[in-house]
Amino acid sequence: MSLSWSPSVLVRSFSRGRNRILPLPSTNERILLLTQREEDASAIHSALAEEPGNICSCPEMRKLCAEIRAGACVALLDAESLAGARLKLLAETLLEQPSWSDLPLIIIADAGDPSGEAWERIGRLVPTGNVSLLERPLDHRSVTGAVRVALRSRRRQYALRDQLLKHERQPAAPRVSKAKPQRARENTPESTNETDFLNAVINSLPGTFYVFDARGQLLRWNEKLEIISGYTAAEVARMHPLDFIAHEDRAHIAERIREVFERGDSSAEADLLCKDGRRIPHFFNGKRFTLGSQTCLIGMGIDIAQQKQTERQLKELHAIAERRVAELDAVIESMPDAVYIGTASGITKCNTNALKMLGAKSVADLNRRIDELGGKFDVRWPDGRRLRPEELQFSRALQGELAIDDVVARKLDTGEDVYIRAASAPIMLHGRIVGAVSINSDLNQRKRAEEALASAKDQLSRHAAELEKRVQERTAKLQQSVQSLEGVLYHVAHDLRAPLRAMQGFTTILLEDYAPKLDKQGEDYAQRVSSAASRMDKLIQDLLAYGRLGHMALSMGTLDLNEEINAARNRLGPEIRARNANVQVERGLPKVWADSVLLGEILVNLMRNAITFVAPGVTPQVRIQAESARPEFIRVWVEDNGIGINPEHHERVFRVFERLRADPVYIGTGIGLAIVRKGTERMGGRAGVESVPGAGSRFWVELPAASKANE
Amino acid sequence: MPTILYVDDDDNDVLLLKHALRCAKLSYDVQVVNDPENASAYLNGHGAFADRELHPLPDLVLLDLKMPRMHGLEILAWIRRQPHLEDLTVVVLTASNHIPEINRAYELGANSYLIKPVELGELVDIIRGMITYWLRADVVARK
Repeated sequence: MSLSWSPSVLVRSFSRGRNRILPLPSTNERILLLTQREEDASAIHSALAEEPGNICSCPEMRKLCAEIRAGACVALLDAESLAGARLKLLAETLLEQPSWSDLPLIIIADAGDPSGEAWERIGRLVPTGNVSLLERPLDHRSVTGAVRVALRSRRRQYALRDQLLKHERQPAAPRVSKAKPQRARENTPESTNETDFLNAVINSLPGTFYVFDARGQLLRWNEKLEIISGYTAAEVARMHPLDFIAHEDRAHIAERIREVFERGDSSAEADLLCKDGRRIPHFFNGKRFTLGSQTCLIGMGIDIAQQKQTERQLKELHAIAERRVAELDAVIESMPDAVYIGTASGITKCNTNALKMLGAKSVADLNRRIDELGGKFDVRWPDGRRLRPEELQFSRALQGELAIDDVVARKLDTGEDVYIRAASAPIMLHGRIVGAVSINSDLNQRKRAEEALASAKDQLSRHAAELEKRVQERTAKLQQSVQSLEGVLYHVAHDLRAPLRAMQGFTTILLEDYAPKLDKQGEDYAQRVSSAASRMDKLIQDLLAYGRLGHMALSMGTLDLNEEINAARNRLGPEIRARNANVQVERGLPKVWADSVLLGEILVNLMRNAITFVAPGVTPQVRIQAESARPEFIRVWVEDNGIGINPEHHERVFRVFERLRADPVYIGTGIGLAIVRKGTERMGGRAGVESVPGAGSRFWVELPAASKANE
Repeated sequence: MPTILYVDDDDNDVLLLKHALRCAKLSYDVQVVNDPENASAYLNGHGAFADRELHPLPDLVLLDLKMPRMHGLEILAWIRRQPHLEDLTVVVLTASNHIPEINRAYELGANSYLIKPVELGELVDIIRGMITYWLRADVVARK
């Protein structure tokens, strides 16, 4: 808001405001009145009783026109008087006015004139045009309002007139002389008036204007003060300047006023307090001057509400900006990576992680030209080649590139090498690169993890190789031990059985050849030794057979089941005959894929089992059948009429050594069924039993069917 | 009277064999050596076995396999390498029913492979059958 006054401002300001100074009598303040209605005249008189100016009533148009020429401020006349020649007379009179003059006319007419007759007449008054309409009924307020407006208009004209006259007299006068030079030559019937000019100037001021004495008596002010404060002229005249100031500002303003009276001038900001309580921020100034014998303060108040608001907005914007910056800082700081921002002339912002990663103490360490920084930092490609300053990701980002690379940076402080992923991007603003931002992630941990992984892999493969080697060694060892186990078995077979043969043989000789020398008990004992030796021999043989199953080499081939079963039956011939057993074999059994020796063992053991465990006095009945089981398999059934097996023992009977238990059912049971199962499994089959105690058992083995493929 | 050379280190087995022969009512001259070295000495008529009146060349050798110092199969191989013993009937009589050993014995030229049974009665049966086969019925069976 400028306080400087320029001529153009002055000229433009002529059209505004009125001044309110202490009422000054003027010959120009005549109000002409022409009306044919008595009630009009009385309403106007009463309305204008309090207003300045003298009312001059004219009985008819001719008189009114004469008075206009003599000089008048405003003319009020009824529309009815504007008829015919009277209207023409008025129009001619108005046309005679000097150039500065545009006499305000107030036409009194009936409200809502249906014919618009009054307006038509008024239209004839063009080109004066300074016409307003006052509608009946005439009330106090509208009359004074209309007259005031008219008076204001007329006073401005007077001011212009005075100026013109003044310039005519003083052509070199500053400020206004250039503005209206041509008007200065015009004649005016009115005398020049310095006061009017002053008033015009005062009213054209861009703020409130005031003059008061040391006691605080307001001597002059402008209309703006009234308009802004809302106080009437009469009220202002009775007020102290501090009354216009907000309470909390009063002491401060009183001090400033004192300063003016003491030192000559001062100024201050304070809220102007309006009548309705509104407060308008103002800038007040004051200057001491002497008016006659009186020392006064003259000054102006400028409305700085706009400025204040702008300031407030600026402050808010600033606060927002600061908050944004703080937020950005917080975001940057909270990022787990090293973040820094800057331009070619240096890094201006970074987070703690960045300081840590780069080994810098503060951002000031980094606020240097990037090419310089690039020289200071030892940053290398993974192959060990050092990055040139222009190769740095940040430098490239400043050139507009989005640069992301894995590099090795040496810390400034500790010299430690850090693997980082450096990612830099240009910061664009309105299409221009204004800087760059870098986000560097620490890859050390990942690198270490990768290294650990690699070494783990390495170790693993070493272990695998070692394991492989160990497996081979173990296998070789195992083979050795299998071989040595076979040796052991051989020894067991040979050495263990030799004493048994002796025991058995000699007790037999005792029983046969020395029977007469033995009593009944001696004979019994010798018998027991003999049978115990036989049993032990059998056990040893079975164990050997069972043990051999595990590692004997198989020679698989297509075998005819009927043939194999017959062979087995023949091997068991003595036992079958001894037990008077009946073994029935189904004819036309399928062929199987098996090892002949193993299959023989299996069949012998199955059959032996079937004929052995029968209740005393029962003739063993054995039936052998076969069927296709699951695909590619033949199931051979060996059914007996034996004592049967409890379901809970169905699995146990196939286990080796189960016979060693004290359960009477198993006494005498060989290792045969274990051989059956193990032998079947070695050939890819399986074995099982279905049995109900007392109702016989149905043992089965599943063997691979002899197919064309494996024939 | 035919002569049988029984090569076995187990005295019990020797006694039982002799008993079995008696039981089988077979009367043979059973010459016994208890180790392979003595067996070869006997067959060569060396040393203590030089007197062929006392130690005549056997008609049949019964050979145990597992013996101290030398395995029975070595003696078997040695016998088969001796031209004059080429046709000698050698029957393996052993406790081992180890299949590879059985196969090996036949490969080396054993005429029979018998497994020593525990039952004395069985032994008698086996010996009777063996003698009948090799020494009585048909001496040329192998050829």
